[in-house]
Amino acid sequence: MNIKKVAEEAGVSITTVSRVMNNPKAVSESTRAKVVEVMKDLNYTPNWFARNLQKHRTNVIGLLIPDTLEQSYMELAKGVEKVAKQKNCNIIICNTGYDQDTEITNVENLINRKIDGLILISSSLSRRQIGILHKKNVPFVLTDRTDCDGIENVVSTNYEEASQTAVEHFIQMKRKRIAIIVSEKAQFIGEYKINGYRAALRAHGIPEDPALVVKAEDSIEGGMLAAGRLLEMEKRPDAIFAATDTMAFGVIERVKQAGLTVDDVGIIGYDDLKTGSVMEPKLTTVVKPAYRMGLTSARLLFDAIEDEELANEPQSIVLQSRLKVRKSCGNKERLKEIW
Amino acid sequence: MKMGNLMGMPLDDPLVVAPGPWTRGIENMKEILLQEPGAVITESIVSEAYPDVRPRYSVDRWSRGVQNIRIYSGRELENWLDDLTEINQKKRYGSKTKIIASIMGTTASEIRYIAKKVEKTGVDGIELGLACPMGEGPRIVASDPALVFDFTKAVVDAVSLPVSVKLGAGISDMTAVVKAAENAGASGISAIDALRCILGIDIETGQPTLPTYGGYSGAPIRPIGLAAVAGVVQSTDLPVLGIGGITGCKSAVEYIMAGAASYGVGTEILLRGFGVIRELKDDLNDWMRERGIASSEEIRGAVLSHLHAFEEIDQNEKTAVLVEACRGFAEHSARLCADGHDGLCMAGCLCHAIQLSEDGLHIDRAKCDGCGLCVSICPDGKIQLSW
Repeated sequence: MNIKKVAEEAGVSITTVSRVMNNPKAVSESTRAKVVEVMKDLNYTPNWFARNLQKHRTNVIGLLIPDTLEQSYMELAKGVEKVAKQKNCNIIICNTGYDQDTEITNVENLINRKIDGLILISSSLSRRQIGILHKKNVPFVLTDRTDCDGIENVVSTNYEEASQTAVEHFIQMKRKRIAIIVSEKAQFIGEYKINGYRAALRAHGIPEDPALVVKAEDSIEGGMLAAGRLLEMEKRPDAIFAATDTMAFGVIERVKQAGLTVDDVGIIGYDDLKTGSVMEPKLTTVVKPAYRMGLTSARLLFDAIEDEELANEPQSIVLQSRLKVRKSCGNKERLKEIW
Repeated sequence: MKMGNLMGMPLDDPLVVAPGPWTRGIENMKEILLQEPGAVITESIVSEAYPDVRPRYSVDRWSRGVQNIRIYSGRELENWLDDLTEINQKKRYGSKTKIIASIMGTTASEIRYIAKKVEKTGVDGIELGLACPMGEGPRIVASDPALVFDFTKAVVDAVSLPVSVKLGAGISDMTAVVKAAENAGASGISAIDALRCILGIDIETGQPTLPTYGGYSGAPIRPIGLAAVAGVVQSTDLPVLGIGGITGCKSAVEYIMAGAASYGVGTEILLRGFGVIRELKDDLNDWMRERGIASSEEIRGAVLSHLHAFEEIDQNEKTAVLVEACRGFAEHSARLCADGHDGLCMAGCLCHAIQLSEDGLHIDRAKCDGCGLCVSICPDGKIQLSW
């Protein structure tokens, strides 16, 4: 339900409906009554908060990040800042630590500070809690979550498809035992990546070995520990898909320590952190469009803050992650690195 | 009157300024609009600006082919929206030129978002730059009919403006892609985009002219563009914008005769400046007036009825003859061939049918198999094929 429908139904312009809500004195009594009646009939609740903010903007937005040490989130934040700066807005960044309670506290504090809107990255909030957020009338964007497509403003990337491509790259390189290490905390994203991993195995008729699906702390140490466990297996994997670059750095180190090379154990990460392109071996990874996700999230948020019509029409945007082949997967073809 | 048509919109002139860095920013746009081309297409607008690498252009002075390694626009979406809004607020500086936004995204939802944003600035149409050969991986979107359909449909459904799809020549099944665009609701096709290239290699150092693969444009790609346009117009009724190596009036007419409803100029502006627009408009006007042609529609597609299947080509036994005596190019001859290209007819004759003697050039018609090479290579036009 949006303002356009109300306008159509009442046979008036969107501007008139907007005036009825903002400045009723500027509209004739009969028109006002008609519009109000249509709004009641259609059960239309205008986005009051967004409307009010147009008059009482604080020019501050909240950005909730699960882990401020994770570089890809800071790239995303940089994208948000790029747009926010053009809108003359500042950002308050909060660390949620993937913890639901922390996230709720952060959201409440930010709302009390009358922020203009919120960007929630990898939010741990339940659908019900997100519903409560609506009642607070704060425009918000969910980034890195896809279960609310079409219902909320959502910016995501094709984790599943891109992970499948990464694992299929291993299969094309004749790797037989492919393991995946996912972050134990990033539940949604981890699931998408595991789904992609499974889809690749299925597509090539490779039976899944549950022992090859490992959860770890999303850190270099976490990657090292998980790789250590995998390498000690009686039938060790010949390929490891580390679902974040940070963990992949740990995996590379652990594989080196074990005296093995990328020909023994191929490694692919996810994120495309800058470090990966200068380390040895250069990390093959899935490029996550983090900066662009930040730009896009901020754009959707400001659409909702500034434009009531858009505030009532959730937008979902998927940005493309794509495989960047370098050396750590065991690749020897230079051309693949160029494209 | 020189009619043109772009995505179903009638144009005052069939000349369209093609997308590129020359259409970036208010200053360039103003300069273009003041010359009133039929339409101008912005540089491809994307959601994340790419930094411009340096250097990014290289020109082969002999062939006038250009390689560029610039990827999309270096300008942010917000800046583009401001620019286009301002240009429209200023009534396009009094110009009637249509403004088309070229846009690109990596997914259907991303490109749809950009389309909705640019629509609000008051542009007249949207072109989807799906064939850019730089930085996009080995496959470009425009080579996949299913992706072309998804991207086009997403945009067509989201905006009320006409939408066109730009194609590259490196597409194996052009018809399938054109049909996909048409089925998705496109109002026009643009062909062709730059082609993936390495302009040259320094044979002393092994260095390429520019450090990565780039887009090849300019005069040398014209034959490829003409073939693409002639192919596209035979597979769709959508109006086609013909682009690729247009350097002057003759090549503009060639594209129209290949079936283009309007023609695009880009690289020539890069090489010779914005004055090319006025020059091309005037030259085409003169050319048409001299021949009593009122509208470019009268000559559009003129080549199509002359294009034949291989087996339809006349079998004949013509051989080469000299249409005037040729003293040839030997040292004893006072007269050398034009341009200093001496003796190309003889050098290239695989039948050994051309000989030089004291009294000049002779063609042995019994040996000649009528291949026609000498006819087209003689700088003096002294040889023809004849019964």
